[in-house]
Amino acid sequence: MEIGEPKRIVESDPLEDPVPREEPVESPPVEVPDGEPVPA
Amino acid sequence: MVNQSQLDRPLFAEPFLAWRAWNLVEAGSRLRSIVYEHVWEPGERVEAECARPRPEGVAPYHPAPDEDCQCGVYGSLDPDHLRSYVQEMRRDPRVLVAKLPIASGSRVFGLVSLWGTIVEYTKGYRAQFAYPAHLYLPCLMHEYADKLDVYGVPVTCVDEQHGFEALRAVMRAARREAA
Repeated sequence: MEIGEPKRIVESDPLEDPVPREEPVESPPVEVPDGEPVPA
Repeated sequence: MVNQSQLDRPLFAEPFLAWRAWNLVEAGSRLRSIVYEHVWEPGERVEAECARPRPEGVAPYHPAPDEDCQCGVYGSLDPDHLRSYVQEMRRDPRVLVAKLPIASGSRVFGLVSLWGTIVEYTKGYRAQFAYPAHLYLPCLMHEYADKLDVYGVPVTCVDEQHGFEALRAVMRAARREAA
């Protein structure tokens, strides 16, 4: 990859991690036979 | 450990954004660097390592990127600088078919976040750490968009009908976003 001529060296320490983190997944409700669904 | 030369460098609290191209591998579910064939794993930052040949068991000669070397994760300021990758595809008859064959290493373009130590160039960067920030996929390869969701970043399809035109559309979309 052509990136030209060097200019300077910098440091980047991002406040937020650039790597996305998985959101916690909510479990689906559990079906109870002949009854109301209840949360997992 | 932070040394004096690091303290003298400008410090930024945001990652740098640049353009890159990758090959799609593993049935379209993974991005792989074109030159060094390193697979970018979802959820894991890529850390640069100097690839200068060395005897087996010997550690890299220096941390990457080093100002006197060519090591580091590369990114370009202008998506136009990736044109050679498109032209490379144009010369390859395997990718001129309307359905780009994943097995031949179809190209994906996108923005990459770069951080850590960064050597800044007039047209791009060499960086210590990297992770994709936004991926562009020709819509004729749309079935791979879901697979690329594993990276947790936006995947944008660009609607075109045929192989090379699709990639040109990706470049146009990339330029609009950069403007």
